[in-house]
Amino acid sequence: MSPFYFGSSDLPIFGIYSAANPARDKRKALLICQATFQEYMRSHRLVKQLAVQLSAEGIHVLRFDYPGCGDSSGEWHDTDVDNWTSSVLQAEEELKAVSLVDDISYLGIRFGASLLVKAACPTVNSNSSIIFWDPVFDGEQYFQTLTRMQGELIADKSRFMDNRKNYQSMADLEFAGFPVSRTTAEQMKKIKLGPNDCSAGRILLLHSGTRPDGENSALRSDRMESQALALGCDWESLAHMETQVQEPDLTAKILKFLS
Amino acid sequence: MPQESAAPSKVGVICLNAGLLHRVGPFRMNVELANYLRERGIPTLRFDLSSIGDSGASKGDRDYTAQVVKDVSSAADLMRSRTDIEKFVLIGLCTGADNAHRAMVADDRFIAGIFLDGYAYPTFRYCLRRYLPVVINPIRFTKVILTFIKPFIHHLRRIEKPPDSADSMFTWELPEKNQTAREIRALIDRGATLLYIFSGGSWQSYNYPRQFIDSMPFLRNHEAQFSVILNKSIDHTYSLYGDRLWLYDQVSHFLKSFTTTP
Repeated sequence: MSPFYFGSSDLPIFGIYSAANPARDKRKALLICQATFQEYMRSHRLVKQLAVQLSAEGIHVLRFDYPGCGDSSGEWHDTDVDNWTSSVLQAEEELKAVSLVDDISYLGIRFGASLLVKAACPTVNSNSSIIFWDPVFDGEQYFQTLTRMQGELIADKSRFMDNRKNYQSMADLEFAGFPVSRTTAEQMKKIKLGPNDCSAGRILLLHSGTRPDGENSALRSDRMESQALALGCDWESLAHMETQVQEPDLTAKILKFLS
Repeated sequence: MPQESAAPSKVGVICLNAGLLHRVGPFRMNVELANYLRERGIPTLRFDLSSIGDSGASKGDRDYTAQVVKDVSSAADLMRSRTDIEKFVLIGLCTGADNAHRAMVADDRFIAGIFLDGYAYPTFRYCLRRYLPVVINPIRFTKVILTFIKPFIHHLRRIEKPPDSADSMFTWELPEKNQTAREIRALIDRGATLLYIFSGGSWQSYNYPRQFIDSMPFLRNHEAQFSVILNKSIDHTYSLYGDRLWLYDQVSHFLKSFTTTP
């Protein structure tokens, strides 16, 4: 694993590159667009394990943190959704440069799926493969969910001894404890995407529980295969907000798809 | 690293992992704190202990505690090589507080510690505040009795206890009080400064401001080096941004005595 910073010097982006095991190098690379806010925290350990396991199997992997998130520089008021989207393109360039591989596949986790599709990476074409893991493509609905979770959080009597219903965030807005700018929220609400908005030739939809495309035509695609994860994750439950995500079959499913 | 315009700091701050969470900290707390301190000229190092976050498992044969002490000392070595700072302040939440205490005891370069929901020992007054409301309330009293009876019922029915989660590896047992008192006395004697901050999340083990001093009365003579803040409105992981800003203010205020005035 090689941690490093890339992108502009005023707002450097943190990434960790896991080079492919030289003995099994498949000349393939995977760019991971992580989840955001608390979902990023919950999935960090699993995403790290995924990167380590895929690199051992011969796939180059780059995971990175969006500006103002995780280890990347910047605070909530320095960044917005457009900024995050640009970072996807910068990360793709970085992965190509560091791995010297042109065959790049993509993994978008939760809101990272929207950022991935919105970024419209120039390398994505009919030969490309994209994996969406419990994707969030409806920004307005996601905004409502995160707002609801913030309301539930401050009313949570098992968490707070005192009544915090009068809590006023010191940021523009707060999504389940994470400060966000009004610009981020407005840009998020405008997002309404789906797999058909990307030009990848093959799409794998990994989902927790009920198939999200079952009733949502925006999520249907002829190029897409859909698979349920063994355990599944209730991303939007406050009760599980601080529980690490566990998906024992995640790596195997992704590896099979990429092979 | 501190901004160039800021006054040089005499100390560096090292943030420890909270449980299994990686170096970013709960709700990005460690990063926000590092940025907050950076603006005030205080350099901060965040890192992952062995086997946590992006760090690999150690290949040595040290036990967990010895490895933690080694890891934190190595972090101080790294910071010294980058900043020329030779004295450090440790900050840790929950298991991080436990680890900060152990590292401080082992390495005298750590001149101060900020312990968030760290060690707490019961006192008579604590027990009164904790159990009296239960005893005088029939409904709560019944619930408590049922809690104690349940394991016996499960045992009789031969219901297997669910396997421990991975997190249980990282929960800590409260060390024996006399040992902790000896260690804290040694830290005080060598001139260390200690700040304990308790949240409402630790109310089951810490329920009034002077509980720490009542549990270790020798601390009454050292209140310049030892302070406790109890804020029961806040939860254990500082989930609300405003609560985290309150914490950063407390930390910054505590660190003022270690920073050089311009």
